[in-house]
Amino acid sequence: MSAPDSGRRLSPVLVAAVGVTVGAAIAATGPDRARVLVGVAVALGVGLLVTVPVPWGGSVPIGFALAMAVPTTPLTLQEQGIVAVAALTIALAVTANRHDLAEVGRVGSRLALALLAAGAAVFAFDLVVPEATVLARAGAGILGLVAVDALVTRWVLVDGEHLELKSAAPVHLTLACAAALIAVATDQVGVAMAAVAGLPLLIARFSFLRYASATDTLGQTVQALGLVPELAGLSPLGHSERTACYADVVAGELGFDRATRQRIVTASRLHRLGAVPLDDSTGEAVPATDAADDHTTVAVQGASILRDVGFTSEVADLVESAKAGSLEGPAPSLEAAVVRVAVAFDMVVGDDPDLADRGLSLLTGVARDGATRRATAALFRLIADRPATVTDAIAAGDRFRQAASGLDLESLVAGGGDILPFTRRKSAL
Amino acid sequence: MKHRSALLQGAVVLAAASALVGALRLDGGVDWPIVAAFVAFLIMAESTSVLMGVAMSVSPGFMIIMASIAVLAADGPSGAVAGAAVIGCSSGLALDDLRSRNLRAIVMNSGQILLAAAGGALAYVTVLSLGGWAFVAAVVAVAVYGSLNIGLLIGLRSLSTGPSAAVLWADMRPAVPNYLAFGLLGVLIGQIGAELGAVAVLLLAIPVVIGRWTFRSFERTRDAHDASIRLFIRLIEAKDPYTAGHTERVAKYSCYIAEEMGLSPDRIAHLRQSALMHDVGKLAVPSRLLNKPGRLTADEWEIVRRHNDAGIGILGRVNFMRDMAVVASDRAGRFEHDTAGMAAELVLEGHIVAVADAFDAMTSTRSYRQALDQDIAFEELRKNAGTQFNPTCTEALIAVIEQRGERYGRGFEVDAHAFAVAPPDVGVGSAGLGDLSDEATAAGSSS
Repeated sequence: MSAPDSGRRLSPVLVAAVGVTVGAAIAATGPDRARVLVGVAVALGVGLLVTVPVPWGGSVPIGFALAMAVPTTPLTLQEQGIVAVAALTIALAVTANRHDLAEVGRVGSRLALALLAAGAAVFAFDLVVPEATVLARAGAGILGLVAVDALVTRWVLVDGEHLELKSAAPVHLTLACAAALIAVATDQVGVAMAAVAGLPLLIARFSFLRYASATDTLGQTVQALGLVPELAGLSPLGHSERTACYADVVAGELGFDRATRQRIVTASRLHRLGAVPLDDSTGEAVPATDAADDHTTVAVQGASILRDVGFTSEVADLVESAKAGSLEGPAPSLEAAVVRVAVAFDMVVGDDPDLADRGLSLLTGVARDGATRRATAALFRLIADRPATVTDAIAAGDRFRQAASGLDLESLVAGGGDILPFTRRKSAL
Repeated sequence: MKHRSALLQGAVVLAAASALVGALRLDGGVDWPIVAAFVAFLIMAESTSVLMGVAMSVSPGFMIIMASIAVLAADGPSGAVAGAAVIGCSSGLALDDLRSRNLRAIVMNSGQILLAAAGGALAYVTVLSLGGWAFVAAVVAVAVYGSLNIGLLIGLRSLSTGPSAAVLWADMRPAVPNYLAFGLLGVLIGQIGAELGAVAVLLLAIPVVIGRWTFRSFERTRDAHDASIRLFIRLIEAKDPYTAGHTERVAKYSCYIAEEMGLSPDRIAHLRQSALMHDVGKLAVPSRLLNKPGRLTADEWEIVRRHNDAGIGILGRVNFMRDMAVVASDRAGRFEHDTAGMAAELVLEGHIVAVADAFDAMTSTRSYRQALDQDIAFEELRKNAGTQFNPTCTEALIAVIEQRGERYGRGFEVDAHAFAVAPPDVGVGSAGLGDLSDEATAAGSSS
């Protein structure tokens, strides 16, 4: 979980007031019903706080499975409403301790709409098909919740991240299966066995958490590898990070899919790696040279090492064809052109945003082949539409320069120190 | 011991055969089409391990057998016990064993699972017939199945050439909650299967298939990460070609020490990665200094130290490398240093890597001197134990190498580098980054 934000906070008095009101509503249902409602509300509330991370961004609360199943249980509409409000209160009270009001609002609106969608879908289905099976009713709840959550997460950022629907589909499918199992088990064999039906949720959480964590770790490792030529004084500090930023946005502008975009970013980060074994410098900080032969040698050497150690051939080939940012000769592919343009642009601009125009004119003048012209035009468009593209990239690179200049090894050794940015995973709640 | 193992194996086979015959002779019909369907499903599942991750230590066949018990119980108790016995018996028929004609494994697995399945089914129908809840019946059935299966497995393996029963139980104990959870899930699928039919299986199979896909994706990502670690090592060795093979050897010696000290497999795996990356600071050190023939001056040594610290520091701020950076730091490596505030396990890893690093440095030829004899390296380690080196780690390394009868150092180098200028035949100089100037050596410092 990230550290508490500094913005406005959800009023604890408001949370307490809602809690007391919901508590009174539960108590009014009588002791037996109240026990059931409290149990379901706590399970749902806790479930909404426990999320399954989706690799490449966003997360889905495990509680959505329960939210899909609850409308199929014998609880009345009024009881379902009380349970939903109570569960939301529990989830938001915990979230409010960690985040500011805006984030609580975003999380709250997503959860509230999901709960509402599941309930409304089952209610509407019951009106249309009064004698439907529990499984069919659960199916309606599943469709309602997933459809609304897909729409909501297109616009609502949770903890700064969008949910990527394609990546989230396996998570949604797992939750849907668990929801159907819970609904049918509750109907046929009782609540105790229904709890057993939630087991696949734990498998899903464990599996996806491990996968997402491995994805993040790999991203960080590649980020660290990009730093190696800079640490060795073979390219300016921050160059790899800035280049990766430019390559990422240009690849996005050109409509590449996630896997290709990831490959382009990786190749951008590793484009100078081949310079390390060739290094016979004095160790002084020097920028990369402009000689085309040097670029080719660095690219070939880098690609060769990548192949040797077991990197995918796609990444190695892209590093080689990107020619360490040289614009001499035509780019063999659009992906290679993106890396070349990003590298060349950063070599001109560096950490001075005032040089962006000069960088663009230089690229426009040099770009001769179709792929390089397309990549250059995309960068041109991006910067024209959003000049902050350059300052954002410079800020990303700056963190490395600051890390290098303000280094405190003692605090690092003691366990402190900041984690470098860009690939850090954020939790949704 | 082998005699007793054979006796137990015979007893298991005899008991299983008797149970099978007895169950089939019970009054009441067996729903053979259902049994045949479960047998086919079971053989398929046992032949293609589909459960990963949390369920890694639980056979997928277990869930299927528990589901079959719940399904067959609907047709009466005797049918459930007989059907479960037949299905359990078929679980030994994994295609791999059939292909390799491993008759002994087939017979033993079949007998063992038959007894567990029949016992589980008997427990399930008994609790139900006594008016117990379905949930309680399921818990009892899973417990009986699990106890019989684990008990027989431990007995058979400990009496053969395998490890002791206590060690086997310690290995299996963490899987017990998984056993209970997946067994109950199997029973649940069986219980609702009557209403939902194949859909019930689908509701379980989809998450399992997704779990497997996630596991495969995780494995691919982990492989890519391993490749990137190898890339780091390659770059370190590219910066300092004279120490090629050094990181692998330091990792090997570190693992020797850790195993001798009884560290857990997880910690040894972590230590190995830290050891492989212990020279990461070299990436920031100017090549001309790393590869300088002869000794470094005090000024040059200071440059090396500063760059090394900067490299460790910056890379250590990438969070997955933080532990490695701590282990690689001089503060964690030197035994006499104040390590207050540092995680104890990282300090120990630092001590282990420091001993391994120093031993390899001394027993390898470097640009500044020839490899030393192994006995001189041992003597040097012992001389500095308690100040520079952790004495326990030092003695552990010496003990392992002596037990293994391995020889390193002069005359026994494997990856000896051919130097353009033959290194001098003097000096001890302990670890990694080169040797000190005469003045610095006199001051008692070393890397």
